[in-house]
Amino acid sequence: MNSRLFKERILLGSLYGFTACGCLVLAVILILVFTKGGLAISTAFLFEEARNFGLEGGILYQIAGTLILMTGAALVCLPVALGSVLFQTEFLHSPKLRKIFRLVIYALNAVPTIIFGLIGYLFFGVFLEAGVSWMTGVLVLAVMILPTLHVSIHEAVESIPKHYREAGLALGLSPGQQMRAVILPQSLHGIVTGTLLGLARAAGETAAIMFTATAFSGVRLPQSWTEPVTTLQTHILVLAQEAANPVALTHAWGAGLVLLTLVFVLIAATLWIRSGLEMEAQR
Amino acid sequence: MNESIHAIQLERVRLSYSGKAVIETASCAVRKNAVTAVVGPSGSGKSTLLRTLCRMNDRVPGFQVEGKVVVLGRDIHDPALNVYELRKQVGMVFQKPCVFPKSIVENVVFGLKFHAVPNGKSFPERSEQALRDAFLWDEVKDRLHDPAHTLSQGQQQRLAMARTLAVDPEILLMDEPTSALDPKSSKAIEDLILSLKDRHTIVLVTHNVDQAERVAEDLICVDDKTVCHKPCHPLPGEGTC
Amino acid sequence: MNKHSLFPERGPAFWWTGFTALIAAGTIFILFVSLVIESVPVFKSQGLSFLWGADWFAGEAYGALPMIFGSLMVTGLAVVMVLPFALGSAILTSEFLNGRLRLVVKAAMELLAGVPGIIYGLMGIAVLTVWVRDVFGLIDGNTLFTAGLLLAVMILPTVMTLSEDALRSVPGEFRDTALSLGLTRMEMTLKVVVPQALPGLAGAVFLGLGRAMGETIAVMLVIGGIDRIPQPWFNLFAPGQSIPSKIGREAAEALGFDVQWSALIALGLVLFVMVMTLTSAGNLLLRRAR
Repeated sequence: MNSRLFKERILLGSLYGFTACGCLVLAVILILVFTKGGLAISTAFLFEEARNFGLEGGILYQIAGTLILMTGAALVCLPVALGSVLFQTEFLHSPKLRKIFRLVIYALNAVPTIIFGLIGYLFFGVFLEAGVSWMTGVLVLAVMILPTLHVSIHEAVESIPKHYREAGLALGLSPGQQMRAVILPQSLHGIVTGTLLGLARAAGETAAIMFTATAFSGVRLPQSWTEPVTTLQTHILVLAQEAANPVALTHAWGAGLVLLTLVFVLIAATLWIRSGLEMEAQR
Repeated sequence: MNESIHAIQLERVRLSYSGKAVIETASCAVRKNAVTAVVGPSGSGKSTLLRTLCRMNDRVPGFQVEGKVVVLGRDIHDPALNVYELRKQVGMVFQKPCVFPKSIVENVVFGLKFHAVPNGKSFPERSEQALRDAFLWDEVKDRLHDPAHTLSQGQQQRLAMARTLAVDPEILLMDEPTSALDPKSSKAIEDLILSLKDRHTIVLVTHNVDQAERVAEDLICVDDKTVCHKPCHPLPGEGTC
Repeated sequence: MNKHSLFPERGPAFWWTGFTALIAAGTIFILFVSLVIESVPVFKSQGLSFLWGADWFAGEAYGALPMIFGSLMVTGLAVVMVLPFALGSAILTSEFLNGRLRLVVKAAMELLAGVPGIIYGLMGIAVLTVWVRDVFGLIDGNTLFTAGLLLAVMILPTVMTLSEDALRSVPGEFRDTALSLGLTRMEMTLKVVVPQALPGLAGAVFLGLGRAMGETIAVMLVIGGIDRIPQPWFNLFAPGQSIPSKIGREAAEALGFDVQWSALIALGLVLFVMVMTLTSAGNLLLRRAR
């Protein structure tokens, strides 16, 4: 009997060990990025333009580029995701078709991002003649984050209590009125968290935009639809490949710190909203 | 109270979830080698009370027990008590038949394997005895290695009993064991309960008063957050809660 | 009643949402068809030997084998390394932690899942390659092993979260029954919960594999970028190349309609098929588990 409890202790201890290692990774990432990136951060770094191939100056236009691409992608994606969710839940009555639709969205979620880059360039860059431009980047990222928004919104719409829907139907609302009056207000939290997660995903993506939307140096704010931007992600990518040069590396960590902060703020916001909802549900 | 004739004693026990009382006060005792039925309306805390007796609610968040629960002469909330030994002595059968996705015989020896020394043998005699005790042997002796879920619901519930009996507990707790079964299977379980009471102390939670009268000698009544004894066939003028 | 019964109400809301749904559902087919059409030129010039050719010299020969090999190698390596950590923390979180500690682990995993690939890449190139080089006494730390290790960290939250879901979907009755028979919590977990959750856990691993196989940026920075199968083939401490890393390195210079571009698209097609196979298997297992 004692050996049984002893074995239990040993196994439980190792589980704690494995879990601690996992959480430690997060701590290591945070410590590395904040200590190394902290050396680069200053007001000048944040608000000046990059000079001498990123070795001098700051990352103002990189920050702007990342913000442009991610907000653009979310703005383009949101109506499509919302519409497709509503079609799935309000008009697709056959369980089989619903299942197929869900599988298609899951499949889209699994597509490697580099493939969005390849085909996105062909489709938006070549066919729509947008070239290597911020518009191509926005559209590629919009497609890429579509499943993220879709799943989140779908979950919220599915969890609307039946009696709300029936109350709307009993009042004789048409599907369009039902959506505006009942479904959208009741699933607002899913729309918000989905959009925040989509923004975070778009902000963190490099592979899909590195040859479709960005240029490394000499770029400021785009003046037309077909101009490239420069982003934090691709800026880090180029600087990281000069890892032998300590100045380049410090600037890369600095940009990394800004990027990681941006992404974590977005994710923390979704966690906060969701935990708030859970507490409300428990009451 | 005489220790030797009681298997379970509750003294001013209060059960609560996050401060909200399920049972305000329970003081009662369960006789050894007898069938005691716990009756009361649904949601009155019968199951919670039963689960407390083998500390199944330990890890339910916010659950709290006050007062003293003595099982087989020991306070079960004594920190020195080995809860796994307690559960070996106090077996429990649940409402829904629950068999593991294994063969019939593997299900029977499932709990036994962990308690017996040496570990991990198949124990043909013990499993046969347990299946005979559960009135299941004749129905399954030719297909002991079939998957357990091929049995009917009633057979699965008896298999669950056999699995508990194989561990050889002194007390058997049963939480509405027939509520998910058809009348014929329920009858089989009731017969089984009656045949087991010579060797085991049985506590049976049921919402079916007829069933309680058929199988139980003692009655414990749970209502309005209180628990009290009730003679099974009340004499005129006494025995109301 | 007959052909309209599928969609009875056809107002403007129907057409608007239907249009967006068509975009959402059509994308995956457009992706696949484009990959197939655009990879025709390379198969015309190389034949099927594109798939097993071992040499890739832009403008002359296009053989995908070293990239396919590299992808399989780093992905397999990542899963082997992540498995104890992902399963260990999933089991602990699902069966032993409750309340605040559980939320802390879950939140840590969500944050970890959100760390951009480029940050992992930066850490890989600045810290991990140096560390691998020094610990294993190598000349260069850019190896298949380094890429596998980095991928293991990257897919930890995916595998852990999905495994935890699979464990938690095992009905509570099984846990109650096991405990009532006098099993310890660990015995209950290992003999009852884990076996029941096995299809779901396998699904989690498959989805992790799919995610690892498609990861581009971090792998690209630490894998070494040599289009060669190492000698001997199981030498993990040699540089290599994975499919996404190859595409990522060459896409910018090949952007256009050359055979090289077509070869990269064909690589994309191979990657697409492999990732879709893994994730479909994973989703199928997860569905069966529920």
